[in-house]
Parts: sequence; C-alpha cells; structure tokens
Amino acid sequence: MKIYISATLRIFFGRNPVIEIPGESIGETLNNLTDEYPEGRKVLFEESGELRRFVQIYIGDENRTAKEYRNVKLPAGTEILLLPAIAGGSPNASLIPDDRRKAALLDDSEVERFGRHLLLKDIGVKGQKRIKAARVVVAGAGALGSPVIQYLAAAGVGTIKVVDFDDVSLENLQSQVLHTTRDLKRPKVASAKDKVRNINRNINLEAENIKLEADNIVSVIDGYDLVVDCTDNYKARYLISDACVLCGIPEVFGAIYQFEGQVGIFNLNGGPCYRCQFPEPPETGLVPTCAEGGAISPLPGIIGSIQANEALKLIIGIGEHLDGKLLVIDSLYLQSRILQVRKNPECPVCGTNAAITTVEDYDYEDFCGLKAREEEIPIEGLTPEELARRIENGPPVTLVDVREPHERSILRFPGVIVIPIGQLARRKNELNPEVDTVFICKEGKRSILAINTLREAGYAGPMYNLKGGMDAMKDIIFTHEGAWL
Amino acid sequence: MTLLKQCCLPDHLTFGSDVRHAIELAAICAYPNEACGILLGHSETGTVEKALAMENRTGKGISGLHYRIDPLDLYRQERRIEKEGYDMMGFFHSHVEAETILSDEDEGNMIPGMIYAILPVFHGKPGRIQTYGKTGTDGKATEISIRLEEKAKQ
Repeated sequence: MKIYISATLRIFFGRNPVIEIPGESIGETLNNLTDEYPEGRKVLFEESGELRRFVQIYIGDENRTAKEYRNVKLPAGTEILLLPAIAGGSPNASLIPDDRRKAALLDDSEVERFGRHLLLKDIGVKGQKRIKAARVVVAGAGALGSPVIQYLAAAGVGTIKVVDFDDVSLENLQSQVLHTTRDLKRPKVASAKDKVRNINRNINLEAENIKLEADNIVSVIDGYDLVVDCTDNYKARYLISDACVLCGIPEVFGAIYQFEGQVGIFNLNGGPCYRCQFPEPPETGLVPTCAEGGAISPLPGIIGSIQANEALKLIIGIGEHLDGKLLVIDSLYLQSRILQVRKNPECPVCGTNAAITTVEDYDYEDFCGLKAREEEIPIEGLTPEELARRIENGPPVTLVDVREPHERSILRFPGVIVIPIGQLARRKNELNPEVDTVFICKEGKRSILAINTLREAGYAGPMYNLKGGMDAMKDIIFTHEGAWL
Repeated sequence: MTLLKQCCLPDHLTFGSDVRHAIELAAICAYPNEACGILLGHSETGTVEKALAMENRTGKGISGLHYRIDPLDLYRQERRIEKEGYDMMGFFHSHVEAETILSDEDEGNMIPGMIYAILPVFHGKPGRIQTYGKTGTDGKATEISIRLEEKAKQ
C-alpha cells in the first residue's frame, strides 16, 4: 500500500511524503507503518490503542477513519491518506474564575439535586460548581424577575440578591408567578425569599427592599458577577446599565410590552452597553409601561426564562450568547429575530471619551423626562378627591379621557369626552377654552403628554391633569353612583 | 507521559508583518465567525512567511465558537504548497469575543510539533496574536513568543 503522510505529521515518519508499506487493510498497513516508525505510533495512537482525536484516514474522497473500516481488505496499490483533523474553538471564558469554581464543593444531596445538569457534557461537575460559586443580582422581582429568580435558584446559583421596593398587589398576580394571593401587600423581596427557600434552602438569597437610585446602585451591585435587569422603566434601565459599565459587570437585559419581548447581553468584555443601542429614552408617556400598556401572562415567563438561560450560559462559559445582540420575540405571531448591537464609540458611558464617569453625578430623572423642565409651563393637577368635589359641587368642568377604547371598557368614567391621545390636536375645537378641562388616563402620565400636545397645537384654555389617573380614582365613590367607578 | 524525541518547538518564532496582516484580515472578514488557516515558512529558522486562510467547515450556527479545516481541503493545499518550497509550520484561528487562552478543544486537537496561532477579535477589532505548541502527545501546550518583523521596503 501507499500511504500519503500529511505535511503536519511527516516529522514523525522520516519526513517522507509517501511511504510504501505492505498490508491488505488499513489496520494492517498502519500497524506495519508504525512498527517501522515507532515515534509515529505515539502520535497516531492513544496508549489504549485507539486512534487519537485528530487522526483522519481517507481513501480518495471517502473518510475511512471509523473502526469498521480497519480490517476491510483493500485492492493492491490503494493510496491511503493519513491526514489530521484541524479543529478547535473559543474557550468561552466563564464569569466565574477557576479558583472560585474549585472552592465550591458539591455534597451528596447536591449531586442528586443537580443530576440533570451533571449529565450534560457542557455543564458537568465543573459547570455546576461555577453555578454554585456565582453571585447574581436580579433587579426587579416582578414579571420578569419571577422566572429569573426561580430558575436561577433551581439551577443552584449560590448567591442571588433580589432588589425591589414594591409590595405585591392583586394586579401583579396575573403574570408575576413568584407571588401568590397569600403574598398580597407583602414586600416582593420577602415573597421572593420565601419562594427561594422552598426551592433550595442552601441558596443565599439577599433581599433588598429598596428602590435603585444613583446613590445606592454601586453598593448594591459591586462585587457581584452578573446583573439581570428585570425592571420595567427607563430610568432603572439606564441606571443599571451605566452602573454595570462603571463597575465592569455584565448585564442580561430583558423587557416586555404587550405581546413582544426583548433580551440582550450588555457590557460583556467591553462590548456595547444599553446606551449604545438606546442612546435616549422615548418621550415621557409615549411608550406606556406594562402597567399601562399591558402584557400577556406567559410573555414574562418566556423572556425571563431566556434571561435566566443566558445568565447560566455566561456563568458556566458555554454556548453562543446574546452578547452584542438583541433578541426580539413577537409572541402573538410567533416570530423572532436577532438584531446586532454595535458599540457606539460616542457612547457617553462606554465610548472612547466617556463623559459619565460616576452615576451619582448624573441626573437620571431629568434624562428620562421625569422632571419638570424650567422652560416648561408647569401642569396643574387635581387629586382624585379634588376632582370628585369639583364634579359634585361645581363649577362645571370638562373631562377628557385620552385612553384607548379597550382601556375604557375596563373602567369607565362617567360624563367624559373621549378623545384618544393621537386625535387631540385635530379635535381641539371640541373643547371649550372658557371651561376648565381635566385630562384623564390610566396612571396620570399620558394625560400630561396630552396637555403638552394641546399646548403645542395652540389650545389656550385652562388644563388640569388627574393625578394618578384612573388607578387612583377607582377608590372614589360618587354620591350619585353609590359604587366604585 | 509520552515524549517525542523528534518533536521540538522553536523558543521564538518570527512572523513577517504581512503574515500578521493576513491573519487579521482573515479574522475580520470571518467575524463574527472564527477564521482559520495554515502557516507556512521555514521550520529550521522558526520563520513564518505566509498565512493562508482556509474555509471554516463547522456547521452553520456554531462557527462563531468553533473552527474545522476539512482534511481533504488541507490535503489539496499541501499538494499545492509543496511546490513553493515552504514547510508546513502550523495553523491559525481566531477567537471571537474570547481571549487567546487555549480551549480544551484546541488543546485536544493539537499535533505535536505544529504551531498554533490564535488571534482574539473583540467586537470586530483584532487583538494580539498568541502562539502555542505541544512537544508531547500527553504534555501540556506551551506558549511560544513571537517576534514581529517588518519587511524592508524594496
């Protein structure tokens, strides 16, 4: 037989490109060849006698490496090609360094509990130890936080810090599966702590019942490996992203709205941050929050589960992840796409000449349009009680409901003019500028946008905002109605 | 441990600047997938003269994390370069969004005596090349330092 020796292996075969060796099969020929070149045997075969991983045997274009071909008789003069498989890949560095991984030990009960992980080649004991050693902050224990916290706990993440300032309310229970009826009016973090304890008592759950602000966020996230952003407002998102950049912590971002969700990984290995993709928040009131715009129940389950999955992949150091990408899922039409997120060299936080070097000195309220600007004419507001007295005692007032038709069908306000926000400018003539007009929406935010829209359109009549919107008004009982609104 | 008598690696390697450029170009073109190719030169002097990009034959969807050169592609290339008088020095590949640390997969597939150059690419920008090699089949891979040589203008 003739054996062609790859240039990569010739050093072990006397630098010969082609060697003539007696033999009737691949196995016999290789044996004879390595008898003649003992150094070659060490390179081609494991000590067990198996061919090494990189050794490939071809006859013509056919791969004949498999054992079943080893003793098949070949025609005399067949040329056997002895070639290497050149392959490799990225190390997929884990967020958890080896010293911390080695320090984490799994006891018998953990070996049993995490058996399904240990069976996975890509996780195994090393991966599970990394999960155990991980320290993760979950910002928000609401809709997205519910699956994230529960899956991270179930997976065995050693330390989970949950940050949320809110209490559980009845409307939360539609999608926040971490909480139950028994948790109503309890802090969400207390409810989260109980659930995690029920999943695994060995998880160290740190509950922080605080609102993330510029003066506390660094102390909240510093020293942790990863932050999972499960918040529902722009101020918190920018604050978390900026703090992550400044503290050098990667972030798994998630957001939901109605039927659509987004997941992305920011600030990993100097990659793009949230600001690179979204340099500015939308105008106040333009994009309703989930509390205003709604979201279908399982959507946070889908998006939060993907966030938890991405977090675990980063912790273990496996797979392909959403670094520099934004996964957008439309659950209504079952479509998804991945958008590339480019690093913005002009980014004020992670760009070349970053202007934001500390979160304490940055005005997030102002940036997100939550603060009245000096040049803006202040908007006067009425509390639900003030409005109720005004309706009952006069003088007369015009009420304008700027909510969408499907919102009004949930809770109606009697005696209102219905003008959805998009129609206000062209229907301004329906309003009497001689009479005080009160604008009503769900939370009292879109009504501010409505007033500003009418001002820009030149409407000069007196305008008031119902503070807190319909949500605040629903506990008011009018004498003539004798029932909740 | 099985050590091979004939297999020795140079302490230092010399890369021509156009070799570095060729590796970087291949990595940028392949980004966000891994680039791969072969290194040609003169093993006696430890000089790498040429970097030839090869097709990354890993399956769709995983080429951002892995590379594979088809053995038959390599065979055809070997036949071609034999005529040019170069030695097969080793291989290069890029690590996308990852450091130049050898992965278990990289190390498991190393052929003793061959040089393996890794170029990290972070968000489309190439980093510093690092080269590795293995002297024994069971031994650990070692880092080999590289001297970059600018070619004199003619």
